[in-house]
Amino acid sequence: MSALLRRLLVYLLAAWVALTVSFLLPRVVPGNPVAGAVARASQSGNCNEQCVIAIETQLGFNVHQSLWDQYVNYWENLLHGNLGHSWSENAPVSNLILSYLPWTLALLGVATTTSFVAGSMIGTLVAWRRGSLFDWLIPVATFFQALPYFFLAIVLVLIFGQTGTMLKWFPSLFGYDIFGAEPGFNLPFVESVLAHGILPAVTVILASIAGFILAMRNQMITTLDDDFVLVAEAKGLPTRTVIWYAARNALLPVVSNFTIAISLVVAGQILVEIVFNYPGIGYHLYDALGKLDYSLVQGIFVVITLVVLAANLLADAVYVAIDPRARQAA
Amino acid sequence: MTKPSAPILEGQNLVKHFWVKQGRGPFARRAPIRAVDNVSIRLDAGKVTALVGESGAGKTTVGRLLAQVVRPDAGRVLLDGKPAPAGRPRSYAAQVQMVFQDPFASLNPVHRVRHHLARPLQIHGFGTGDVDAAVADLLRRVALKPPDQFASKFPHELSGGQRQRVAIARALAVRPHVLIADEPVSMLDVSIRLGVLNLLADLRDEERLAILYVTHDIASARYLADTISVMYAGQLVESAPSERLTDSPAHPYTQLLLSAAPDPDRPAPPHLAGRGAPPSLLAPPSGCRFHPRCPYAMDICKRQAPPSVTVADGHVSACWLHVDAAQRTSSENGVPVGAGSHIDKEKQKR
Amino acid sequence: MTIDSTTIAQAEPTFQRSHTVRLPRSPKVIGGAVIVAIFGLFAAIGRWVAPYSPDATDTKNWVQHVLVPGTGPGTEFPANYYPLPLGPSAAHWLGTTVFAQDVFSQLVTSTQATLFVGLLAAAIATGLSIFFGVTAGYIGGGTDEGLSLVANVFLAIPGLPLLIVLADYVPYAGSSVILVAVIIAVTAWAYSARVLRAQTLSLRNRDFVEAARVSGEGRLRIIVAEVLPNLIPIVAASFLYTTLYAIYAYVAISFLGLGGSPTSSPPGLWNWGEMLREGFANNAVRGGWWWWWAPPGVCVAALGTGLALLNFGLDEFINPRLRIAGFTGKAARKAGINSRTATVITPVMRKSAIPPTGAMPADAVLEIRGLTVDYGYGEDAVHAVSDCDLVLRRGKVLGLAGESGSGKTTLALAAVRLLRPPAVITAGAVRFRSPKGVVDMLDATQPQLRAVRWSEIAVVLQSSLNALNPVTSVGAQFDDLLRAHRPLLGRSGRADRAGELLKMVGINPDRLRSYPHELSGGMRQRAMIAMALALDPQVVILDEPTTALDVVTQREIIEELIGLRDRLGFAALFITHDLSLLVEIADEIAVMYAGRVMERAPAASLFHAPRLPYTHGLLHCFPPLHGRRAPMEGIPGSPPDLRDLPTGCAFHPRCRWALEQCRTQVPQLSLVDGSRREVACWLHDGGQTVPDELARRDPMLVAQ
Repeated sequence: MSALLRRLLVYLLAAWVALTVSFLLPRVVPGNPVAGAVARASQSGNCNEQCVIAIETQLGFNVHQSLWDQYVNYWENLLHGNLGHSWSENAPVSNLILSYLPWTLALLGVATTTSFVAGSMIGTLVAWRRGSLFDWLIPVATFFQALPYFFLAIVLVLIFGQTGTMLKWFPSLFGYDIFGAEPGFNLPFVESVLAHGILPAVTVILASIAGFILAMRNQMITTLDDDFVLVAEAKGLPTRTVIWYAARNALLPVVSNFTIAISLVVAGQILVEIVFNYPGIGYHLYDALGKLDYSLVQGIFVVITLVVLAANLLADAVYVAIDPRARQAA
Repeated sequence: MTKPSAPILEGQNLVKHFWVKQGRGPFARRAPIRAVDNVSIRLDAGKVTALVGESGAGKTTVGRLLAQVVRPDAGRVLLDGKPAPAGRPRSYAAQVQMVFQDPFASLNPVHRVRHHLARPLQIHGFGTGDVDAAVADLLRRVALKPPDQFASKFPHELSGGQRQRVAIARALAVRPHVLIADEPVSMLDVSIRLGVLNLLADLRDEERLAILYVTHDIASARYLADTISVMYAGQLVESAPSERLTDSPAHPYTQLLLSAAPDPDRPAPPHLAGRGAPPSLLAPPSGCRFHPRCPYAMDICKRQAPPSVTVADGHVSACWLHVDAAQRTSSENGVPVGAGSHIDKEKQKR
Repeated sequence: MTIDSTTIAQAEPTFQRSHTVRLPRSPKVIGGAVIVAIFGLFAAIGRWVAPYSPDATDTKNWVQHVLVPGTGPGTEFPANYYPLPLGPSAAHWLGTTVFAQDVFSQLVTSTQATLFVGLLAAAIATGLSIFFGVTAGYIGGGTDEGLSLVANVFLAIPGLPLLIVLADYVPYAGSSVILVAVIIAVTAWAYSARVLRAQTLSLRNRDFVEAARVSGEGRLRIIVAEVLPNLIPIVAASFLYTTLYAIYAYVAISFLGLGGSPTSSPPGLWNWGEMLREGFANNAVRGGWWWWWAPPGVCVAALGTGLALLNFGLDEFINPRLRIAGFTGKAARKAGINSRTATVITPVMRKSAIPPTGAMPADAVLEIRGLTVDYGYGEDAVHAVSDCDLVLRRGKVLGLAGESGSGKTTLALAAVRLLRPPAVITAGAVRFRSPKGVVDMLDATQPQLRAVRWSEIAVVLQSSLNALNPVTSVGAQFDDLLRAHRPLLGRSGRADRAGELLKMVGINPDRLRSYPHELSGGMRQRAMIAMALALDPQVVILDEPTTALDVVTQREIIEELIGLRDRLGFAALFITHDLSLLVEIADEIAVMYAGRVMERAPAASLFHAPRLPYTHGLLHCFPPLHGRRAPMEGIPGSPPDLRDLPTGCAFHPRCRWALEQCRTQVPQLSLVDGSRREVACWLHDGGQTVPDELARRDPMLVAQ
């Protein structure tokens, strides 16, 4: 229990650091960020006067407050769920993010769970049937692991996407059919959402599963050499049970490294959303970057960080549940 | 057996607590493990002192305290009668050296034998002359011949016994007066253990080294050491010249240890008096730490830690059985018949 | 004890040694190295071999405008025109962009900046991680807690979003590759730091670091000269990993337009991410202009694969088990052994004829004849066990004594087919008499073996902590066992039986709920013994069951074992290096040396009247507990290296009675002093005068 509390403290601290960085960055970065931002914006031609004022306010430019007061203010707002105002959408950032978040969480949840479960199972199988044809999965997985998510997304769009040039099997733009379906709880909309989710989910699964396969395979090979597996064989236990013995143990380090994995998957998914114009927080982060909507950028950063930290905490809880040694670790 | 000469290295009333986390959650606190509790031990030039005990008895910690690798929480370490300087300066390293248990771990796998022997020479300023010649000389002293061949080898190219000899050579490089050998043969193959023990004996006889031989094997302690001290649960329970200790042990724990040791000459399976395991050092038993297992335990053993009693010349045992009944604090604690007669029998044997 | 059974079961240590110093040269590693080298070459010389400037526009052909597919008449979208980039041609190997710039030149030029950022970021991150990780791990205490906390916090914050925010706010970050590299490094160091910290922590407690400290070495020098060199493979692996990560990160932020565009002011450098961004932003995918967007993506993937393959090789170097898994699989296939799963069954490849097997002796339960076991195949094979005979009899304890590497564990585990490849049985026969009939262990199929395993032949290994599954309770492990072999027993029946078994070895049945790590070493070993006896086996193989325990616990467990043997009547094979212990508990003892059984005799005969010079020497390696103390010699020399055995009798270089014959001819085990004992020694072949030490009167003969 205490191990979990310690992790919780680390995550709280991480959240504090992320939020503070997000507060400090625009205020303490050397040079004049407004001038830089405006220069960039005027170059791309999408920053009007309203935008300049918004940027200035957001960067604390014309705010006549000490840094500390601003910081206290910032926390007060945060704790009230107030993440600022987005000038480009003319809406509170928190409302906007709440509308983006379900898309991202659903995609992330489905894709990561599938990828983790299937990847661990395939990795177990590859390790168990070592020396067989399954070994070919290793270089293939290595290649897929090396493939950038967004590049894979582009390739999949090209081959299977309706905006691509080849098979045109699946929709590959937006989160649902924005012309044909009315958002709400109706069948056409749900069908449309599911159809539009296929390619993005497949992209994230394909790109992330290789990592889980390789990690699990390496752990399994190490674990299969342990004495307790030998004893399990010596006991004449069914093969199923022997594999289960080894896999339970091999899973522990894979789960404890979930922190790294989830970070990479989230990063990859942001870019995948952009390729598919998928209406999650990743796509809107890109959009906000282009529009220099700093409030929105920061709000999204904060929320992504919190999502990742929550996922980490979940992984830790799973770890504590499956490792009796962690349970009593003080 | 009072030794006329002063000891080279002496530990007086050493106490060492290690702090470990206890409990769960936010209420976790650190509790002391009493690894070493009030241990006094002396090492003399040209003598091997053995420290015998089970794992967790604190014998390795005593060795490390004497080598000043860890600092005692109480008590002091005297080198040549003077308190050991704080911070383990090189002058101390030059006098007191260690040999470790696992020769596969005590040599750095990335360095050749030469590096292991040359570094101490350079650190302590013996490196001014011909280092290679000095290295070769060290290798010859531990009977690794031809030395040139061994100097250029990596540890993994050597056998366990050869590695342990290199480790001993490294300790000898600084020309120390004291050698602390922590289980130097327990990881070696049986057939080469005696070779290493004999090497230590030669160093004692020829170079007048004072050696602390830490071991769990009481038979090898009897073979090598002049004096044996037995530890149980962080405390010294008995100390005597080695033959005396093994032939007529005065402490019930020493008797248990001897009866459990493998002995092919034994006519019948031994009777173990005092089954069970050593106590947790987080909360050691009151009084004598052996009393929950002791077949002769008396009431006083539960209440009061026994004093060290001189049983015979140079033979000290920390056990109430050896305190005269009259002297024992309360009268209700008579000597149990069995125990008394047992001890008396032991005395008569002498 | 020098070697635990894990290493022996894996491979003889001598066998591993030859592979410890160099990187494995697998096709994976070579492939990875070639890929990385090609990219390195292009990065170094690309600027000069590029046929065009990456910014130069080839305006000659660049006037064609095309309708973007899916727009214009007949669709809902207004007509949209794009300039048509040129496809691959002799002039432009990879075609041009919509701006008529040469894609190949851009690609080659981009390689430089991409690789530069990757390597620089990795160098900075690795430097940071070494500093944080090694400092935290070596100094420990509060410093460690503080630094670890910092690393863990950095690890928990998702890298790319932080990177995006950083790159977005730092003005002109994209235009300075150095600034980009620094920003990437800041988000990338934490993982390596954590790995290095853990490694340093384990190194710090290694004896060689303590030894350096004891010899008066300074702290900085210990870190630099003793600790760091041992971390090199891990530092290298984390450097490769970080390079990979940094390249992705750079490509990703460039794709987002934060990596600095060559067209912005101040201009950034051409890189793969920027090429992808430009292609994507200008509809290269929808336009079907694959030559524009595909090459940079393929380059990222190819370089990534190259680095990942190299890393794979390093992993195998760091973790020998991975290496052996890959190495043995291939060698086994080459040798014609088909092991398609990791099921533990020692393969049998008998080259010589199966030794003649008559009727099994009446009281024999397990009979081993001429068993020979190799580690590895063909030329590389190491003969770990050669031509060994053993017979286990009902209700008797057979002691198997020998030093590390003598093959005692190999012999026992091979006989029940429990050695993993690369072990292979190359000769011999093993028969087991079960109540249902005689089983030929070397011909048995997997189901046949499974029926025999544990219900007839049980095994207790040296380290009970490793032998019990660490993540399930002791009770669950009893349950699995009973469910597999006693299917008729219900859940409560199984629980009752498990409790009964624990009680039998003196453990409170409450302990069924405990996990292995909650029990003491002695208790775990007792639980293992209880488990071994759960199915009333005919044979129990005890491989150094008490070596890891203290003497008192050892004695208690042995008393229990002997008591149970008397009650249950199983045959025991007791393997240990401690001959003095064996003499007390075994009925018969076999002594092994360099993979051969060299002497076999009743325990008392062997102890009081050894016939083999090695046994004689070994018995004189245990100082006595009584009598006068006298100098003892031990045995000169060291146990032999199995890869390089002496010719003739393997013991001859250490034998003080060695004859000329011993140097050339291998002695065979043959009967001496009647029918009860055998010895393999030329001194006893009849033609020699036997030294007095080896001719003592056998007490068993006297008794008869």
